[in-house]
Amino acid sequence: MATPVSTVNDLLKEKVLALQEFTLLGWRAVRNLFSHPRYVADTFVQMDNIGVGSLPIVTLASFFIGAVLVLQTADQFVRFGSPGLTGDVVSLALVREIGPVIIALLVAGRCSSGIASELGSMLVSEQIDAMRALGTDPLKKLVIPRLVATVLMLPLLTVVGDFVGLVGGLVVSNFVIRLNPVQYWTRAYLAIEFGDALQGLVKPFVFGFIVSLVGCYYGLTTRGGTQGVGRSTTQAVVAASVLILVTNLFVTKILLWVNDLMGW
Amino acid sequence: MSDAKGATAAEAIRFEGVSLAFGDTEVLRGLSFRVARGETLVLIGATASGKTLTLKLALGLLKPTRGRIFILGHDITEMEEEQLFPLREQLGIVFQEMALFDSLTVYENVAYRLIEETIHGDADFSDEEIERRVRQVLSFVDLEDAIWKMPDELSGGMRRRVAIARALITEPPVILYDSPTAGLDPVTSQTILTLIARLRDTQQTTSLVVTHRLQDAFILASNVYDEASGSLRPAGSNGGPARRSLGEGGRAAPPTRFLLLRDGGVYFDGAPTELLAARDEYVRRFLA
Repeated sequence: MATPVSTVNDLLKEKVLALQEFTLLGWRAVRNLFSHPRYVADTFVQMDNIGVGSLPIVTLASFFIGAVLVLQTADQFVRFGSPGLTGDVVSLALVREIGPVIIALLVAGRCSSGIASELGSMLVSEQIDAMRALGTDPLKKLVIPRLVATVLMLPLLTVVGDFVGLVGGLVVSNFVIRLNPVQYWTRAYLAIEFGDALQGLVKPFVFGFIVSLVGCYYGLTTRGGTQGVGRSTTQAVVAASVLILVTNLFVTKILLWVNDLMGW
Repeated sequence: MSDAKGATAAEAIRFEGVSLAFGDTEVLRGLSFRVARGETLVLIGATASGKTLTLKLALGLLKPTRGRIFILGHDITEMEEEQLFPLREQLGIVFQEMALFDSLTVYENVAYRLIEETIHGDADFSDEEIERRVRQVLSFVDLEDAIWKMPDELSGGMRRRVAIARALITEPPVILYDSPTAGLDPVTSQTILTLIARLRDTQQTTSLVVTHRLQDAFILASNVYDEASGSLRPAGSNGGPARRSLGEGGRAAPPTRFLLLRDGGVYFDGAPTELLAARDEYVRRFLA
């Protein structure tokens, strides 16, 4: 009979094993990133699916995030008689933090789940086994194209999202607090220094890695038929979102340290 | 010719004391058998006796916990996945649930291996060459009209024939069939069996056929493919493992053996006539 101690023991072992498998999957994917054969066409298909496919939701969400940021901050700056600083704050918050994180969370919701359900369905219907039996390495055919596509597209989506967010802020600042658009845009532009841009561009690379790899991991470890596919999909979104938020803290700390060190 | 471990070139498949366990549960126990080149081994047994797992072990999709597996003279027991890929090119498999790539057309499914070989750099097939071979193999399974359809537009029997076409596009010397007639009506089952016999008799492929339909197994064992009529006709007596004798129609009976699995182990290994003559209670019950 299972005692509470043995149950906790089994649970911990299971989690450690999952972490080990996830790390190994990541290590194998990175190690084989440039090895032959390369599925270039599959990578472009995934770039279209992950990048272009996520564009509508990213632009829409970013516009309203930028807009609401202005609403929340402008009031304080108007009180101190410096409404012009709104552009600085919105710009810095979007580029350094909110843009990369929110866009990564949106893409995780859309793509980690999509990847997990697609690979999970392929696994339970023996398509992955068929692929292996037909001489194809699923890591190279399925995992690496998705990894490369996400890591390349997420920074681009973030740049687009940041821009659209600033535009959203510009629209609201112009119509709500009657801030001069040129003043808003100039301050927003000048507020960003190299260190800020670096933060905003390095984070999406890391988050892209998490989004794709978590989706692939849960998809390729799916158990229990269609119900299992549903479970993997949910777990992938939850795990990717949590990992993005936790990783963000450490990446931010490291990047701030690098900025200080380099004087950026 | 034999390798260091004694696997001979005349053997297509050899299992030596193979066991497989998932956690504490041992599902295969000391499985040993051989399949000679050109021979058909029919794997029968009750549900969950380990038939499908045996096929997956033969392909290297699973690793045994004990024992050794030889495929076409190569010991695959400890081979890495990368090393297995070239060997798998010589094996075709028809999965029980077909496992067709549902986001690809019939053409792309059947051409999959040729496209992969081109990407891998093992071959350089032009688009015209790939289409010619796909059409050729689809016409072999009488399905050329479905070339641009998606798998979900096909019936179960048609999907099974696409799976067979995919398995034989590179003309592998060994084909593994996992319950090829499961869930099909008698007419479609007969079509699939005719296809298997046709491959066996015209191309001398080695076949490992998993089935729980004894009737199908005996049809394969006692009939040969008649090229003139395009159908099966009775062959002569089948005297024993890999032994041919002239049948009534002048065609040799196909070299066929039956392997009965029970509780993850081999319970019976012999010719169809030996299986029919067996007095063992479990075998009799299984045949009934």
